[in-house]
Amino acid sequence: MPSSPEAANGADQARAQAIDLLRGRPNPFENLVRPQRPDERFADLHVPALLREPRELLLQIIDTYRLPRYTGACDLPDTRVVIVQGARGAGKTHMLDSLAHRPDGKAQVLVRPGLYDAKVPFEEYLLNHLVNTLLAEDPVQGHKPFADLAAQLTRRLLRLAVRDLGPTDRLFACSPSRRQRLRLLWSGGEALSARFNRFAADLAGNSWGTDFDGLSERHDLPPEFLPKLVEGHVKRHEAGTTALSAVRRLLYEAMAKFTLRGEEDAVNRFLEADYTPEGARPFFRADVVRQQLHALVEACALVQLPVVFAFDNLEGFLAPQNRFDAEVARAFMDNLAQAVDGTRGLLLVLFAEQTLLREVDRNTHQFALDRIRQGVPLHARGPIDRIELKPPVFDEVRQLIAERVDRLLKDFAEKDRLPAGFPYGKAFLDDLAGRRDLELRNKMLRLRDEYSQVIYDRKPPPDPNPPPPPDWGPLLERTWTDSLAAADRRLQGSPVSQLKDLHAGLGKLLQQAGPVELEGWRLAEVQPQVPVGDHPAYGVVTVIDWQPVGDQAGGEPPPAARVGVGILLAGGPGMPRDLRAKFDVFQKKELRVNCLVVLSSRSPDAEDQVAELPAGTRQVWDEVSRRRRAVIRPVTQDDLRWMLAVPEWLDGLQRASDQPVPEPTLRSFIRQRCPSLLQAALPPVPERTAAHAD
Amino acid sequence: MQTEELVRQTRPVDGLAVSRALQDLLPLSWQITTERGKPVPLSSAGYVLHFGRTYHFRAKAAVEGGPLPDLRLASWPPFVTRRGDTLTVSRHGRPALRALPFAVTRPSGRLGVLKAPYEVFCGDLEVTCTFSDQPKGIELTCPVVVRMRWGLGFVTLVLLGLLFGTLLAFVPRAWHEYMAGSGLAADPVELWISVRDHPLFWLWPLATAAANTALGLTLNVGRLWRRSRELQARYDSRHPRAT
Repeated sequence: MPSSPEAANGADQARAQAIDLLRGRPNPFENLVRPQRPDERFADLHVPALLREPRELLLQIIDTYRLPRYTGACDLPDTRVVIVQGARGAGKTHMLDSLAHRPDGKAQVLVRPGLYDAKVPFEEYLLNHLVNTLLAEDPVQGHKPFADLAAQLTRRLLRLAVRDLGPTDRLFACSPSRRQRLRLLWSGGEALSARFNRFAADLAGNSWGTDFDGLSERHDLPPEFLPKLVEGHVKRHEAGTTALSAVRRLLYEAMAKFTLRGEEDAVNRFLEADYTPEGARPFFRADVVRQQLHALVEACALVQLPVVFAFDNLEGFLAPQNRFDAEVARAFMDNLAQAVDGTRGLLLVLFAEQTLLREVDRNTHQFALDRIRQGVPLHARGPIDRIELKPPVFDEVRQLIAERVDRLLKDFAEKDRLPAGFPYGKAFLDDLAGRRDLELRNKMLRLRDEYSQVIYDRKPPPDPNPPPPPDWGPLLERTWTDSLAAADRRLQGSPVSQLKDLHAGLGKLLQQAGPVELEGWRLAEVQPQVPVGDHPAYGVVTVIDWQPVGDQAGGEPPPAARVGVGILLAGGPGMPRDLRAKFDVFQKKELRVNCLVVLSSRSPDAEDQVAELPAGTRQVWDEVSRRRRAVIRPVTQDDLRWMLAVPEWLDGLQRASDQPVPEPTLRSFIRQRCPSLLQAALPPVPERTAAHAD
Repeated sequence: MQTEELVRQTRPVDGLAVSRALQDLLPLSWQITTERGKPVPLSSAGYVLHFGRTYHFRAKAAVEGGPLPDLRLASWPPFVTRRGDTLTVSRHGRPALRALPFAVTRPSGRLGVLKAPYEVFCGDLEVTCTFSDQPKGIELTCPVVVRMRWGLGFVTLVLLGLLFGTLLAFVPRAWHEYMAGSGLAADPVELWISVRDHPLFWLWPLATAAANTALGLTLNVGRLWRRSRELQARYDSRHPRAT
């Protein structure tokens, strides 16, 4: 406090100057108030003092999944669930973002599933989201986590493959000419052999990073030699015929091709591969999925990457349209409990509101609660299964004010003469200190409004009573555009890895569009993702029930139709397998599907879609469509983008608005935007199909 | 009827253990050296060894500063014999590597020394390398080739050729003189002088020396070439062409 009138005068002057300066700058409390949008300027806005204790506790829990040594599955910690609970606006999403931007820079795989479908086996659901996270660009790091993972494991494989080369192998590995070979009959191989020792030493160090081309050039090794070396090493040491061996073999080879040859689709080939060894029966789908998940978690463990599934939008999963769905909640919690029992090495973190959690707990089976409440044991603390986000104490708020305002006054010379808590007055701060139960977001709102008043001399608008009905149009439009852009980015990566999300999106789109009547059919029910057959990557369809409506010209109305819709995305040798996997829908008798619609983006403009199929795929088509009612319909890239965008769009709408968007508004928006997809999902007309039902 | 205790098989390796392709199962480096630790020459047919000498199979730890492996000869060609126990070689007062001594001896037989320059022996030295932290050892296959030193071999071949050529020139003449009943047959020195004075006498020894050297060389190269092809085929089978 100023101790003399001169000092007080100086402080007043500094305050006036600072306010003058701040008038030309944005309100620093605006951003955290904005409801739950991923913020690119997170590092600038984050105040470490806020929620420090729960954040550090959660980071500590995550770090128990970072293994200094890994020899096998027994080293993986048990899968556990940790619930981060707090009231609305307590800072749950901000806390999750702060995990992604962790201050110590340690790496982790943070999977943030945006969708939940109780019909999809949970391990498959986890695998799908883990793969998508690994293959998508990390918003914090700016590149695919899979690239780092693959580079590090490839480097290890290469180093071990070089060490595994016998003394004479090293000579043949260099592909010597005839003349060299003749000379090597006598001796002289020591120099060539020593070259490999130097190469292995360079691979063991970190000086060369992931510059494998530079490394092979430095050691005068042909570039095509490195993938060959890794492939040989993997085939030799991972030669088993079990599902895990087959999965590992293909995964490591895909990593080597991705890293050493830059083959982006090597990962697709791994996901789409037929793991069945020659002459053996196909592996059971659930087994392949389990081993794929294990192989990926193991690969992450080998490079000290904890795998964290953060379910941020639990309200969106369990209470869509603000209506709590007890069945879905029970299924979700049962699945979590089964993951605790059946998998290893995963940390499942739920961010949920207290009220929702109470509701969930009431509807969850005891066996599931027992497993979910096991917690992660921490040194000297015991198992932690819940972390509560409490309203920030006044000290934290003061630090928040200081940090936010300091950033704006970076160049202001008289900064030190400003009073504590500037620009807020004592009365306001005392009042804020007294409101201990006020959640973070509400405190931020008050700070924002008071800041506007003090700095911009602008009073907050009085609360209208009752509030006017919101104009949904701009919000729907803006969220739709954002979601389409995100969907476009996802499609540019690996479309096949998005297959399940495409089906989820198609299902969601049809559910939101319904009840709809089209060409004499009424959309009755939609099951977005139904697993079929043994192929974990391709074997999924959307099942739609259509009821006939209105007067039929021919008199007798057609029977109700249950349509399976499959999306054919694979290319090359995977395409026949992909198509065959769709036809597996007819093998699942309990589904009682009458007809199959295959959506293909291969030649969207072609009249005859069957004629456009490659020979092998057409053979599969001819073989099955003779006996079953099926049709191929074209879909464009726009259609695929819409499918992928819909769930994220609905999620975004829920986050962006405190009240649910009215269903008729959503319905008309979807019908207006995606009419072609509604048409594509209709049952095939018998006369116009390529083949008839038997 | 007498009962017997069930003999159980050993527990298989954990199926969920980390892939063997990613495990540090091998020593950082391993090679054959002389007794003094000097690396022996490496050819495409294997490490080049010589008869009558003792060598070491030396291996380091799997990781820097890690435990040294236990070495055991699992199989070896007939010309290799084990010499003493495994040694630990220290550097700067710390155990640096493990050495397994062995000697290369000629298989006993008549005319062994005469045959030596024509012969090349090939085989694989298989050493089981076991680290204390691994349940199972790993086999290291080390191809070796035993032959006479090129310099010594060349001299021996020439000398043998010369001797054989000389005999080839001398014996028929002596036989002829003996059959003719000439006095020269009774005096070998006189006979030798008369043979030596013949203008074409040196042609035989020189020709046979050259032919013998060529023969020895061809046999050696042929054997080494075949062995080299065998080893290359083994390498190719382990490292298929990248697809």
